[in-house]
Amino acid sequence: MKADRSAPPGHIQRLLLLYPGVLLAALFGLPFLIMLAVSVFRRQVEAFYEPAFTLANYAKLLEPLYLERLLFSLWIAALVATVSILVAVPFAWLLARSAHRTQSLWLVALLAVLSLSEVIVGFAWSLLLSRTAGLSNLLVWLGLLDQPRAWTPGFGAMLAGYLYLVLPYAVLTLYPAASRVDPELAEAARTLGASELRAFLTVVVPVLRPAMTAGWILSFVFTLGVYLIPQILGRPQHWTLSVLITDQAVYQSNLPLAAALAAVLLAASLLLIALAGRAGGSGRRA
Amino acid sequence: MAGETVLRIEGVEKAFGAVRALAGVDLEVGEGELVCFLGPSGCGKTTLLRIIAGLERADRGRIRFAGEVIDHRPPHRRGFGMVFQSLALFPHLDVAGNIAYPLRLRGMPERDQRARVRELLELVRLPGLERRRVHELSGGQRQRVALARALAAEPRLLLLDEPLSALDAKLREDMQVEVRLLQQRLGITTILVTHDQREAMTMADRVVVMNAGRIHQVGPPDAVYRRPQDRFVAAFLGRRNELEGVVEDARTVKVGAHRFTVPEGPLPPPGAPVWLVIRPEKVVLSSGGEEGANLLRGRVVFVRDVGESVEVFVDCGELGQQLVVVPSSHQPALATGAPVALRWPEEAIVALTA
Repeated sequence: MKADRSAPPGHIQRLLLLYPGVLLAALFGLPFLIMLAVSVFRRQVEAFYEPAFTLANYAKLLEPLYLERLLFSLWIAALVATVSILVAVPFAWLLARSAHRTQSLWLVALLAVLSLSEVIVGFAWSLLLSRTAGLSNLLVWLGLLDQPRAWTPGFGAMLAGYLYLVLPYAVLTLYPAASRVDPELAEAARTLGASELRAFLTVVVPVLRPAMTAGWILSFVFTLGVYLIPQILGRPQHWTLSVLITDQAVYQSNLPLAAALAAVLLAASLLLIALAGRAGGSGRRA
Repeated sequence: MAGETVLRIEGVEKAFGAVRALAGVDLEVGEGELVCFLGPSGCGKTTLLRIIAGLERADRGRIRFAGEVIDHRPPHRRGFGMVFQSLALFPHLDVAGNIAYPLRLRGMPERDQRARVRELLELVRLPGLERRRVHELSGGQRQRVALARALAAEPRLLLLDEPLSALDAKLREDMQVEVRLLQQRLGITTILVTHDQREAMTMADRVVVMNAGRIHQVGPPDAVYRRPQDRFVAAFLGRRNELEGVVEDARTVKVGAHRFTVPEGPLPPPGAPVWLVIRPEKVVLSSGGEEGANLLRGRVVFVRDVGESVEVFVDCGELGQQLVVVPSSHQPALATGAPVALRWPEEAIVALTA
């Protein structure tokens, strides 16, 4: 093995190294290029679309409806990602320091949530928050509420659905980093005069900062892609750009517009991710 | 004990599940003293240190500091400094940030913080390293920064949990002397946890030898080394030769066909089993012509010259293998297989019943 490593790689090895690249290009790059191409095609109502070069689809984005939805989508994604990280950081830290059995039970539960589809999560929450069969009935029975209420659709219901989908991802990205943090760091802070909370905020959180940035970006991107939760749990004013893209692509058969919207959403989110990465990374130097 | 008692440990017990980490420990530590908890891993020494620091709660017993019971006081209100085995330097802060951390928590003005950090870096002989990142430091430098940080808030008690274990052997020996000199200069009461017998002997005013959650012996290093109270202490502190025998009368122990005269002192009644222990450097080696009491005969099995001394392994037949350590300059010409006589001087023998 050692001799092989110092020798120049043979043709077969080089081909093997190319294999992931080829797969990535075929399964990820190509569809992306097709989408970019379609985004400048012209729509034909009877025949789907025809090849062309027009920026008309992109011009649509300047309409208040789309522009406003784009900003709303980025805002809601940032909000969900931020709340997820704020919940996930202390949770992952406590989880990493609890008994092994507790840790595996929680991790299995979190992984189980990942196997649920958006549709199931959406309808489960909509049932849970409904007036007829939801949680409010339980509160009435307990005497905390005088009559059952409908909490869905609404902004709060939508947020709950989003967080339910995204939180496991945030916890699972933070957990490995949290379990690698030397517990003596927090203990050292405590012997130096910090309360438990202060030790967490001044030592554990800064040490976890790179993982928090990664978890925030993942949650942000994941939230942007969700398109059923706003339709099931939100009102039309809570619909994100992803909902409109689905609507254009699936129901209006306007693929060029859907592609253009998707391309802009992608560009905007990449920009935001770059900013977040820079903000998260610079903290290590300060 | 050096000064008057500042720390008093009374009947402390601790169990982790079914494992008994501490089985009733009593100890007093005097002002300005350096006390060393010495024992194999799992003996409870680190648990005891963590209970003193407040990072662990005792199941039973009390800890008093300066007369007050501090069992319920959280670690950040105890005012003790601690250096951890991993050193636990904060990776997101530079050297100055680490050392100033306890000062910032106490709300010290920035200017005073800077002055104090400079003073501490001079104390640990790292002047000018304020802006250095933790990962850019060598092992010895990290060690000094951790010590400076623990001392920053002028703790009333310094706790050291095997802080030198990550260093290589030579640097570790130098640091042992340096930390000891620093501790004496500051006059700070210190508890050191270690499994390294040489470290304990180098640094401690008093050594507390522990095993299986119990204190076996407490005393100055030379006393513990020369006069172990039981076989565990004799075995754990340095090397020793051991023979099992039977008490014959108040001064005589019979080992096989040999008779040993032992120093005056309490011996169990005649017929009871007893162990005779001697340090290898106390055994007198001769070429075999000698006659008299306390004498073993055997053949040289192996000779190891380690520079400052020569170690001779001698096979004494039914009495097993014995070790003799002689200074290099006294080295007689010894060949493997040569017959030798080993004399155990009466005054160097320790008779143990357990």
